[in-house]
Amino acid sequence: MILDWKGSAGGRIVAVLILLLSATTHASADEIDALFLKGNDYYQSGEYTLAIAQYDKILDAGFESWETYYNLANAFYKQGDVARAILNYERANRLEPGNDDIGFNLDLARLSAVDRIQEIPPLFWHVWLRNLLNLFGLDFLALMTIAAYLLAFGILIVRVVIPDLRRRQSVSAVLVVSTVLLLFLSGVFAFGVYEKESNRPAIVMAQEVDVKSAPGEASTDVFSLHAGARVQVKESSAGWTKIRLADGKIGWVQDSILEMI
Amino acid sequence: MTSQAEHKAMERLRKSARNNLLFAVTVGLGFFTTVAWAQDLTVAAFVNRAKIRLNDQFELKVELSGSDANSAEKPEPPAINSFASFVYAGSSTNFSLINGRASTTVTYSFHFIATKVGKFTIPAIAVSHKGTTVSSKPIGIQIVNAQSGAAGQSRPQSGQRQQPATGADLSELLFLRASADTRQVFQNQPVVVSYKIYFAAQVGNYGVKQLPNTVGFWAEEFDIPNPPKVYKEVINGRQFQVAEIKRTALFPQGPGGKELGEMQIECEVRLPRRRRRDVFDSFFDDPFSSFGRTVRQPVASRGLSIEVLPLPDAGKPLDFSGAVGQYALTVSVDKRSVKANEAISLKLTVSGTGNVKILQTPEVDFPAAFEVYDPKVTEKISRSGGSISGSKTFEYVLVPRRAGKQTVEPVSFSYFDPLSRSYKRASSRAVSFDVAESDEAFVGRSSGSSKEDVRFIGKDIRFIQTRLPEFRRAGSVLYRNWLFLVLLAVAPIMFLGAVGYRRHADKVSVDVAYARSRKANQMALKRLKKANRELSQGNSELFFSEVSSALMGFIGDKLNASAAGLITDDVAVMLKKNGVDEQVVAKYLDCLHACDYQRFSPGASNNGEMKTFFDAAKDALVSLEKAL
Repeated sequence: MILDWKGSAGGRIVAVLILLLSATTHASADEIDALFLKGNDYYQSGEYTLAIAQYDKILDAGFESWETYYNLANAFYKQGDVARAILNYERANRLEPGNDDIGFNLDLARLSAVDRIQEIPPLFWHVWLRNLLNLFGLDFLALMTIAAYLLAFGILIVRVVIPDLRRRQSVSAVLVVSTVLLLFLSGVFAFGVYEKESNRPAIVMAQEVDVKSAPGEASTDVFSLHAGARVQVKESSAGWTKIRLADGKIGWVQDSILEMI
Repeated sequence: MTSQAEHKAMERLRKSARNNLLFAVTVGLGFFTTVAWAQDLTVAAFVNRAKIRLNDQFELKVELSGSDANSAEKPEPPAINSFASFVYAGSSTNFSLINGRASTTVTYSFHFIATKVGKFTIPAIAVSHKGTTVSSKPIGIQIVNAQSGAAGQSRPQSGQRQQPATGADLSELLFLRASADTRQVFQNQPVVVSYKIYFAAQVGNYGVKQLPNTVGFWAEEFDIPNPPKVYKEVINGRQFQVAEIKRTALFPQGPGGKELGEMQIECEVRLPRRRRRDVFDSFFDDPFSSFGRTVRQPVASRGLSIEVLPLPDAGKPLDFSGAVGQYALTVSVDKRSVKANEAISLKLTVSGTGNVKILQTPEVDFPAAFEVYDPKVTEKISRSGGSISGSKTFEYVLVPRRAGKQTVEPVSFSYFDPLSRSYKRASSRAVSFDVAESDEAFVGRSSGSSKEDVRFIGKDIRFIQTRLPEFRRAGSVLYRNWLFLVLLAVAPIMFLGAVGYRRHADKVSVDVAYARSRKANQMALKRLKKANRELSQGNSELFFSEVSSALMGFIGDKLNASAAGLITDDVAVMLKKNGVDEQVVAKYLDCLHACDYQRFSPGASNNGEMKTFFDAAKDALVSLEKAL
């Protein structure tokens, strides 16, 4: 990202705000839009392979949107490629958590997958925090948090600089409120960042794979997985990846059979 | 006596073993009873023998009798460690009605082994009951050497008369032999040790006094018929009857020389009837024998030493887990064709001779398509015949989760065969299953899908999104943006700035000296500017006046003194006090003097001179500002 730091202070602030608030990149936007619409046309006429090619071009250009992943997943589903359908629904879900359409289609795609993995039910506050995250999105939360942070410091600075204000209770009250708001927002935000950083889900792409107890073909088979199974990536070593299932099973598979969400 | 009659006698005597003991006690009662009375409780203590051979067992009985004797406290065994060691304690309770009154007798028996020769006293035994303590009287006993004195089973009066068959005589007629089938075995290879009673006298019952010590062995007892079979054997020209009373397979647990302890038994030997000498004889003779007396003869086997060889390291298979013997391995299943998700029972049986109890579960390589539950293990051990044999069965429950042909590879396990002195391997055959598709439409690994899932699959996915989305750069995250971090850092820096400003402002408002000092530069600069203006206009008097006030004012502000009251000499003193370099002070004073001089001198200075002087004054101020 290149920032123009020349120019007036006011201009700078505006530039920063625009950059922060709008994640949209306008470069070659028309071409991207065209690809998307073309992909949709192909999809509607049942030419799923061509539709997939269009959506892929968008992604190859370094752009993404949940709709692109969703439409791509639909195309894969129609072609019968359940693993890739699940992968792309999951990717859409990552960008737009809690979306009803994504959730519906993802559930349906998962039904066609072979493996049923019993998930360990999460803790109630975990669910609650995740819903909150889904509602706002991590970027919005980041903005809110930084805003609350700046507000709290701003009030603090004003209170320090203007001597008369120091004794006014209303200023203190606002300070307390903004501090509480900051603590709350930063707490949720920190949870979101932790979730995002520690969460490394992947989808099994191979039709069937025997999961090993250790990296290497010679190791014992622990269990087997099928295309579309969702796993958590734990660590990697020389072409092998340690995975963990939602029910707690752990094993090693070759990197090549996994696709990160 | 025929073998049949022998058996009958033995059986009868076995039953009467307890009676005999009681009988001995009753005998002792007459001689050694010491009785204590307390209200309702009587405490009597007595030993079964007054003269005890060294290392023989004797019994001390404490009899509590009274209407509620069983509520009395249990007496402690007396502290007689100096000459006897405590073996075990027992108790019995007896109710009786005497003249319409109920009476309870509780008898505690303490068994000791005499450990020291000499005359000793067993101290009084105290029993607390209803707050009072009732004691028996002390008892004197004598412990004699095994060789000297009367035979072990002598009753109190027996010392007074000659026994027809002494212990020495009897030991030739009655002995116990321990024999091992081999003296050298491998670790975990069993040694079969057999204990046989050889007797040429009439032997009735026997009781085990001490079992052989088998530390370092895993012992499996063989089943011995009861009563034991008796057969005849000739030793040194004498015909003996032989009865095997104990057979044990001992599996040594580690290599090295092992010692097997001796076994001690006590046999009841019937002696030929003697001429009656006194009235006691008839009384003390065995009440069941009409033709002789019975004595109790202790008999001991000798210990055995066994050499245990370690298992050879050469050729030891990797999976060897310590099994020694001869084994076979079989696998059986209840069905070979199943539907997915149906349970199969697979039995793995290891059978053979050896210690099957220590057999480890052989490793089975089940296909990944099978869900395998932990095996149920059952053991069967046969204790008859010449060796310990048996089988261990591991029953697995398997649930195939995938359709197709599934094969359980042959299972094998290795053992050491002590006969061929080599490691061998027992293997089973491979078992294959035909797994048909499950009736359920979707087969899950952990759980089958429910009917609801199946109905749901009939629906189609929702249509694609047609509205033009807002595209963004892939993988961009706001909190990873460096601007985010800059904003985080800027706020506290600004806050620190604000705090600094606040401190300064506070100091200015209360501290005049600080305020003046902070303003000094500004004021001096202002005056110098003014002087510069006068300079350009050529007003030499005003110029010098301004320079002077700049110089004086600066000092006044810096040192918080009134400029009006300052004399140049005072300034010098004050500056020196503040540690200003003398050269700087001199330069400053020169300027000040020059200023005063020029101010009041009538001849106006030219512009060039004034300009030089202005620079000098400015220089003096700068260096002074630095020094202060």
